[in-house]
Amino acid sequence: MEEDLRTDSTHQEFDPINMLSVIASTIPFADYNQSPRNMYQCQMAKQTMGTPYHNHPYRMDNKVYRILFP
Amino acid sequence: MVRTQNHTKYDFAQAPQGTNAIVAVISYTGYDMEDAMIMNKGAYERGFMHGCVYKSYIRELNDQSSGNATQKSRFKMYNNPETKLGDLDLKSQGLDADGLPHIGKLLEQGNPEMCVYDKTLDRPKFTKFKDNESARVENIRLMSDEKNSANNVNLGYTIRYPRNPVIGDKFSSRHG
Repeated sequence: MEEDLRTDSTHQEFDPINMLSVIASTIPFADYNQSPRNMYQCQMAKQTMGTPYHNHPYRMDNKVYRILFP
Repeated sequence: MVRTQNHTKYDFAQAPQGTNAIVAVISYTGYDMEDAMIMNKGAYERGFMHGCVYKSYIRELNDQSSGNATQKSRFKMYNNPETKLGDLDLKSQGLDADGLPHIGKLLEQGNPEMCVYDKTLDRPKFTKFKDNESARVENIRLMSDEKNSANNVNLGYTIRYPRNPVIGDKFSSRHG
């Protein structure tokens, strides 16, 4: 960590992965994709409702969809 | 099987946004297979692409909207000492000693989802599960009603319907 500090700049990025958004960074092997495919995927991921909230046991919504992970 | 750094960092196994799968592309006969796929049966039976639907509703112990004080406290839950069990066997009806199904209980059409004691008629009153699709009990909460009535309990049911992939479902890739 200490050895990563640079003296030639006032700001520094933590990790190169921060180049990508959260959604873009969930694309597996994005670097092997044609670039428009990554853009289409980011558009589609925004439309999904994967996990809508984190407080499931305390909620009384009339209807909720939830996906499971194997 | 395949995950990016951020899959781990944001714990997508606990809060999934999808599932990564290995996909094979075939060109055996050359027939057009657009918008179709074959899913592994073993993976399907182990919960691949499974989801569930939760529905919540409220059952009121006593209707507080009309009637006199006796009618407003007519029904009691079976964990109340004022109730009389008689020859009623709640367990054979699939209910716990309080007259409610336990968490995880499979409710099928016609099964009792609630049993309360009717003080006026001195007998149990069953409420049936009416949906023709069966569901499991996720949660039942005992709550006060909006007016905080002394003689009432609102029972907040949350039930879970399983939703497996069926023919006609659409799946999206993570690659557009």
